[in-house]
Amino acid sequence: MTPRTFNDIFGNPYLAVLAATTVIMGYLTVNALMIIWMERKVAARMQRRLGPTERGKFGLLQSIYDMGKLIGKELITPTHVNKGLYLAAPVLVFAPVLALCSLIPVSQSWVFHDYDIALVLLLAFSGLAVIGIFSAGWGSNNKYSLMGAVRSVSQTIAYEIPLILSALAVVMMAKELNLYQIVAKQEGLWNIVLQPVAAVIFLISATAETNRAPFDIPEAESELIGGFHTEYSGMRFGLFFFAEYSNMIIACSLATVLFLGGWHGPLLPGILWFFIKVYALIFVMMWFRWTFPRIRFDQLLSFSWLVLTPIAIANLFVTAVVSKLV
Amino acid sequence: MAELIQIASDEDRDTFYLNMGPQHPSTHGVLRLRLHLKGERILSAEPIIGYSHRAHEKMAENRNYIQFLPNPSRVDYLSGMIYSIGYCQAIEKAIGLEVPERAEYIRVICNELNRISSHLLWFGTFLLDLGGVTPFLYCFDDREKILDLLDLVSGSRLTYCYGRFGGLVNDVTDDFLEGTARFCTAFRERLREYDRLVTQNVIFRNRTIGVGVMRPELAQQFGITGPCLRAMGMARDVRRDEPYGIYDRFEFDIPTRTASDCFDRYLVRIAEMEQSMRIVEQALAKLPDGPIMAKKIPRKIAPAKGEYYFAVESARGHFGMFIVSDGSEIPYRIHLRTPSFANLSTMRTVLPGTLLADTVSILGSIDIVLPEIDR
Amino acid sequence: MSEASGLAAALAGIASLKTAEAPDAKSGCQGLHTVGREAIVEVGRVFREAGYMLEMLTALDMRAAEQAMHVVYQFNRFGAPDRHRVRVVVPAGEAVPSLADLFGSANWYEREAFDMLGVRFDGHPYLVRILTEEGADYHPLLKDFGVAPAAAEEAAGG
Repeated sequence: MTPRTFNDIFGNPYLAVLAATTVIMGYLTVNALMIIWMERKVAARMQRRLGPTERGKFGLLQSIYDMGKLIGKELITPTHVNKGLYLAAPVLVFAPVLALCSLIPVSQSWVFHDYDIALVLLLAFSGLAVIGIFSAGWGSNNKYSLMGAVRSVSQTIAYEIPLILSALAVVMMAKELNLYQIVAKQEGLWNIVLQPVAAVIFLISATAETNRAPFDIPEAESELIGGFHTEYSGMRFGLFFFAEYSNMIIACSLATVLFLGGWHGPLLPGILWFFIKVYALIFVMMWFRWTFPRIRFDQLLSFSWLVLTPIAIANLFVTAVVSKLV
Repeated sequence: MAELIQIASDEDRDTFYLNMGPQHPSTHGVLRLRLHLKGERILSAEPIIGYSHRAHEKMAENRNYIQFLPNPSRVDYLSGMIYSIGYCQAIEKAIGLEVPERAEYIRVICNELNRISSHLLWFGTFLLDLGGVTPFLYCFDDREKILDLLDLVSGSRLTYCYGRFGGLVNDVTDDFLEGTARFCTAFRERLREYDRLVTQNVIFRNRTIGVGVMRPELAQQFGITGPCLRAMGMARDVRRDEPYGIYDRFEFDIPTRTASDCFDRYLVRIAEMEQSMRIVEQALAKLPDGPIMAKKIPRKIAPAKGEYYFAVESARGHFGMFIVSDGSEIPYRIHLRTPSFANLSTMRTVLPGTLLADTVSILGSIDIVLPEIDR
Repeated sequence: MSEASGLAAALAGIASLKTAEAPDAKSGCQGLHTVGREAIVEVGRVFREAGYMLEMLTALDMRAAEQAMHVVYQFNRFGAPDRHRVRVVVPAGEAVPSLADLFGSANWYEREAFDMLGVRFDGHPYLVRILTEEGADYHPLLKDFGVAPAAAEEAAGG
């Protein structure tokens, strides 16, 4: 089975790109605002507080006001920064997100574009964000920022490997790199049942990749103040913030696609199932964040290299043997 | 130390200096640490203090003993009650004033409640330093109840001025007594919850066990007191060693640990909260009726010419007041020996060799209050 | 007990040390001593070897009465208190030997005494201001350091 692409729907590749961009940007904006609201509500409930209540029903409009505040703030460019890198960084951090979103198959009936090697593209693009973070840290010309950037790079490298290895286990089973087909093959039996180890490793690595607590050491506010975004203000800071929440969406979407059977589910339409699963995973990530203290940097790295990576390799090996036998 | 001031030379390109503070989220106020780092490892550290120096000792020399009464609780705003009542007790001892029984018991209750609230704030901020935000709010929830109780009797929530020479300003109400008893019951349950949320947490244990070990000889070298000393295995507590007020009438243990790392300092403080509750409950049970102010209070508070030293156990350790009187109503000199000053000065020895992330947990674990250090 | 008598014997061996008889309970001390400044390092060593800590160090401005500064050291042990207050009388403007080599805490205490009262300590590794601003030209706890008129008025008028 093949889905309809935007190209098929609109009949014109340029129109399709325009439509896809509009849909994704619109979705990401609304989504970021809603996730921020959700994060604040979840945090508040876990901490016996109410969270935002003033603006809109249940404080739903709070994020929009915050956004307005961020946009209204003065953009300060400190005099000591490396201007090129400093200004490019927020864009560099945010740009891959757009590309990544277009690869996710959200529904059974359509995709933005049907790539045969979508997974490879996705993993490759997700590594790009670190360039933005590093240029932010380096360009800021601030010791805290630099340390945040250095931490971020080593963290990303360390966690990309178990992430890819656990995704590879799924690929081996599906014998596919096309995300749409990977989901399609999970009908009836989700990969999480067959690959529980890979799923757990994937979720942990994805949390680390998105720099979420307890792996938020690149920005660790109690140690590095703001890490790589210490020197940013206004909407430039907003873009980092925006990118973090968009990255969460991508990580959770990918986990849903690879392990939780994408759009599969009874009764409700597929696209609804997809988003239910994504937001459930996002809730789990928030749960992590508000429960655990932060891991120390060296422990973080040794956890990846000495625990996650070997387990992921062993898992991959077992998967290879079993899939050959079956 | 002098070498710390030099700017790193060009050949020394692997290392750098980092000014941590005075505006930094986890230096607990306005402490500045000048760190010499190689990557994330600390080569040397020099705490720089004085950013919140308010000249309390100079103020003491320019007002009489009664006018100085509001000051001690501003010195350490987290255990203000202990400081403020401690000052009253110091002057009472100096002029030989007897305090009625009921007042003594209420003082003990308030002191211990204040100690719990101080430890709670420490607990919350310590976890915040380690990146755990949620326990911070739980602690503030509990601390709020104590602040409400103390507000009920003293009229203030943070910088108390509840004691008077010879007693207390207000008698306690039934609301306060019932509320305190209720708090103790509820708080035991909360402590168990903290144990499950924090003490058993593997990340927390990894961040604290074996981190920031203070070698035993540092205790004598630096005059470390309070929970930091007790985490070294020395059961020293002013309340037990030289009981002031009526502390000799209560049964309580002095919790100690031996490893002297961040985790032990944490456990000691948690255990101390339990012991404080024991004292509060005993005091509530034995609280006698009677007046709360001594009958004959001299019109002029003027200790005889001489020097007086009086120590109390604050939430952070040994708080001593060295009072020099020339026989007049105005103190000739009041020197405040504050515990965090000595505890913080160990950092130059403890921090080198640790990681930047550990700095935060070590600083947090010794429980510094900057205004108390700077005075 | 033997430890305490050993300490007493060691202290008695220091020529310029004068011990006051039976201090008043109000003083909060078990022993009051006065010693010449040249012997303070020796006194510090005796206390250090007996396992005592330097609990407090401060100075008093006695220039009006005696044209001298008093540096007050207070040693105490862990456990039941055995507090010894040792006083060094030093003519105004002259220095006292530093105890920073013996006690880590003396480092900051001496800096504080220097900062607040201008007492200098010989042999201190880093005698700079600790609480007030760098480069200040005053020592605030000296009696002739002026206070703001309002504070003075308040003190006088009550």
